[in-house]
Amino acid sequence: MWDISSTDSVFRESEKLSDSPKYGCYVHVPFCAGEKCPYCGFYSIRYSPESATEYIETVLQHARSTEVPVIDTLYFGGGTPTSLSPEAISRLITKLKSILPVEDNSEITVEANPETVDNETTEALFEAGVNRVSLGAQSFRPAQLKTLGRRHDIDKIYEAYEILHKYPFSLSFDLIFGIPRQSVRDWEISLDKAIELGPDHISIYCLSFESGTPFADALRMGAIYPVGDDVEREMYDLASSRLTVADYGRYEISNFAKPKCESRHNLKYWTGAGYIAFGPAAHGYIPGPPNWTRYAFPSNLEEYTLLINSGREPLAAVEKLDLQKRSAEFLMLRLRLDHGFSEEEITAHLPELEPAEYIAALQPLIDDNKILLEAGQVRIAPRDMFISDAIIFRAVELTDPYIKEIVTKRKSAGSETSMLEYSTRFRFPGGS
Amino acid sequence: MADREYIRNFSIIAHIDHGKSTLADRMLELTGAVEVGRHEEQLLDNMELERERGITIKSHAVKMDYTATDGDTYEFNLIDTPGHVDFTYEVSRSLAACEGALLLVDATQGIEAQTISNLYLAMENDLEIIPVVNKIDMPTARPEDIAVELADFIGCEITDVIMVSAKTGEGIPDVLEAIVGRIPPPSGNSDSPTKALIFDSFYDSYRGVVVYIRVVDGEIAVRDHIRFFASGKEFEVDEVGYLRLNLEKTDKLSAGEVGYIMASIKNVGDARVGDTITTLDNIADRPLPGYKTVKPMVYSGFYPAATEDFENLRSAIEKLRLNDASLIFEPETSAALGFGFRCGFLGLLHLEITQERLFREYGLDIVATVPNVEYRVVKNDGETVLVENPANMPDAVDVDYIEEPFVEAEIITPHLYVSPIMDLVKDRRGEYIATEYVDPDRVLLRFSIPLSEVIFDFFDKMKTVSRGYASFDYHITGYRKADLVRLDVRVNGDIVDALSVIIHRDRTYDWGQKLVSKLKELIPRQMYEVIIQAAIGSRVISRARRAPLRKNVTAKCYGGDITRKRKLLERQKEGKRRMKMVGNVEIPQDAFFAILKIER
Repeated sequence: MWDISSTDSVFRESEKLSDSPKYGCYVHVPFCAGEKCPYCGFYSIRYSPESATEYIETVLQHARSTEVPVIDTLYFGGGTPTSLSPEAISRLITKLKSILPVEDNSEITVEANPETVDNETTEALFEAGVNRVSLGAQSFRPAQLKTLGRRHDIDKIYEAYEILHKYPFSLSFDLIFGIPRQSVRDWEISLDKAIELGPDHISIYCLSFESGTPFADALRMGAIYPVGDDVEREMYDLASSRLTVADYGRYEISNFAKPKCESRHNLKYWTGAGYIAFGPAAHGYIPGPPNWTRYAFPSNLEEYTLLINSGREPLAAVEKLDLQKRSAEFLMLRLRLDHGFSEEEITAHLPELEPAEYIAALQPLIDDNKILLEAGQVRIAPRDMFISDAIIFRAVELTDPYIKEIVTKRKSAGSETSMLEYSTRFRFPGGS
Repeated sequence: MADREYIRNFSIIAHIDHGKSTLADRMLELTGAVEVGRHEEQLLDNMELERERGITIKSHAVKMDYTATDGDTYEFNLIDTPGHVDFTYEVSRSLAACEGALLLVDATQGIEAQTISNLYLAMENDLEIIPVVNKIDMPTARPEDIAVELADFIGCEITDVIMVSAKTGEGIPDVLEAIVGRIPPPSGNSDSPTKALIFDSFYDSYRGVVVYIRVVDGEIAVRDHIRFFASGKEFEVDEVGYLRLNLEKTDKLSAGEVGYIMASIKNVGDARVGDTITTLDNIADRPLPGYKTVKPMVYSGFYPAATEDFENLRSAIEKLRLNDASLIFEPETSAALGFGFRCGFLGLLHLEITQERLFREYGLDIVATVPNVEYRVVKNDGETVLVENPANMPDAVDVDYIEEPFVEAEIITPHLYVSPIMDLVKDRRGEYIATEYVDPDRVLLRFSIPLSEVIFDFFDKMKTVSRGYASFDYHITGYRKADLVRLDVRVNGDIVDALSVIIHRDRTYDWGQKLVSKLKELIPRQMYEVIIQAAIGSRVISRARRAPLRKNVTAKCYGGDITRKRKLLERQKEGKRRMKMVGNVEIPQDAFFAILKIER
């Protein structure tokens, strides 16, 4: 599974991308203080001090046994990272920073839920070098917080804000819309209250009914109803204009930020930059020829721990992206950004392609003003962001024949051989 | 080989569900052809589809040995006929192979239209008719009334009518004795020039074509050189035999006998139903009368649901054709559906069966276009074109007039339902011809009606308005002028060629409306507004708007989601193969299916 023999050559080859962006690092903290929120599809388990301690040591062990490139963003997501004790979270962050080559000016984000934000935890985060906090406010209406099964009330949001505000964190709020029984007016109030507090960054997520969640079951049973596409659209358009007026620029479908306050870490996902990962259910990506590789760790803390402790690579999935997949991902991710992509970025991520031909394949969408092509920059028309999946799907379809043509050409030229070997930049004790 | 005197060739004429298969099963048991209770019910319908639908599609035959009360043993050949109006010609050829027929009528129902038309066919072939009333054990049976009705109808004595219950076996021995006593033995002569009538053939992938024949004159033996009159082709006979429940080899078949031959024939088209076989060393100078080239009545475009299945579809249709000489096809292309075939069928049932078999036997999902009849278009320059695909209809300005096939329909119904049936017929552009009394309660209505109006849901509608009591049959009478136009469906201005229909002018508004609203329901919201129109030429008669998509977005897309999301995208691509693109509009295949089910 983890073939180290070819590591060196690939390592060197990848190093040639010297101007490529630095790596990010995602750490999944799989604990929540109580019951999991009924809409949440992420992996998390009930917090206990013992399992938290074991988890932290496992992650640190994992980090120590991994050879890691230079990192300039570090992101602790969950679960609820702040469900850890102040000492524990402090140890996790500080130790990781000492093990990994984290650059000085790195963005270090921690996700926090209002009810877990207290003075001690916040102080610990700050002391550990955290400079960005993403607060899961979700809503400023009691009814919606209740529907979402959140453990905080509105006062808690304000309390958390007051505490966090004392520190020079870059602050982000998460808000959810399209909650069953939520009215457009409810949403407007939530938005306005969030804007009033003036965080640097606001993410607005349309509620999705993730399979396997209690919400999905309730939907199937007819116990809850979505507010419907038209209302969701109205809510999204309302938010887009409110936020824009309040100086939050949209840089991704669901993400709005004051100037220069975009999430550097999250941008790595959409721009196809590399990121490594630690923790159960965490995913990583190693871009660059010849083996553009995505990998994932098991969504089970015990399994993850067991593998690390036995000195094995805790991989649950490894996928090398051939040109077709890479192109699909490129469109899927880049077109989420307000900026879209440029010819240079095509070349960087799809070096096999002729950028002009790639863009030419999108012409029908350009003709219909679904995709805008301005000064070499390709992007989805801003008003159509909320139907981006349909546009992206069409874009993938339209580029498909060109991609297939290139694949065929390269096959007949015999240049597709290196895809057969697997390699990685990481080294594990048990590996070789 | 039995002496001709001891051969009885007969068939059973019955309406669906009147108990034909059960009667056949009892006869097979009583003659010892099968053991009692050992076999699957309804032995003769051996295609799975036939059993499911309760109808016979192919002709079959089975030989039984019956020792009569006179002590002699007779050779019975029961020739089973297809039970649907689509196969009237096949029925007539099966009947031509017999000397007699059992007219089987349900004691609770009485004679039905389908039975009457087959009875007429039997009479045309000079068959001896033995009337049999079945299901006399049923509480609601009216055997005496039905017997009177039958006797009146065929002009025999009431005492000639045999009362049976095929279910309990009561009366079956009387039937067997009547077959011996009333049906004449075959009249042919084994020394005359050889003539054998083909009443069915099927293709076996190991043995080639197996031809079912009734030898009328002469003999056919193994190693004989034979000639088919219609195709002119010659073959050497490899095998001859009798049709038991399995094929039973023998040396030769003589005048009067029923059996099969095999002669390394590769194509059922060379051994067409109704054709005559002769032997080269005892050659006949002319064929038996009654052969017709069967012409398709209904046409439909068959397209593979997955476009890459085109070649698979071609080979599947070719294979079906090996066994079905009446299926015709030629390649055609549709802007909406891609590459496919225009197929001709004997009727709608034949179409459905073919589609079903393509799915069951070849795993092919078919998108079929709205079926249509063949139109005769006379152009202003005097040229006549046959149009079997609405897309090929000449420009309206070049058309002088259009003719369409008409049928004469016979409907038997209780008095009570005459009026709603008249309304239905009138609604379908039918013209009343005559009424006859079948019995004191029921009448036979005759109509002239366009075939195109009959092939859709006429039968179902008639069953509905008559609460299931009316029965129906028809035969083609010829072409007649009609005020027909082509109605197109446009999405965002582009014609969906596969949805074009040729339709009577008075119908266009209604049909257009239904079509457009159905499509509006079925076309999913897309990136763009979709305008759906029904139009005659450039004149729009119905219009609907599908509002554009309002939401289609993945709210969250971060690290872990990416692979999952991309896989969703790939799955969506798979699903997209189920969509057909017309211009920039995606039309789901379901829409093409749904159109077929719209009520007229």
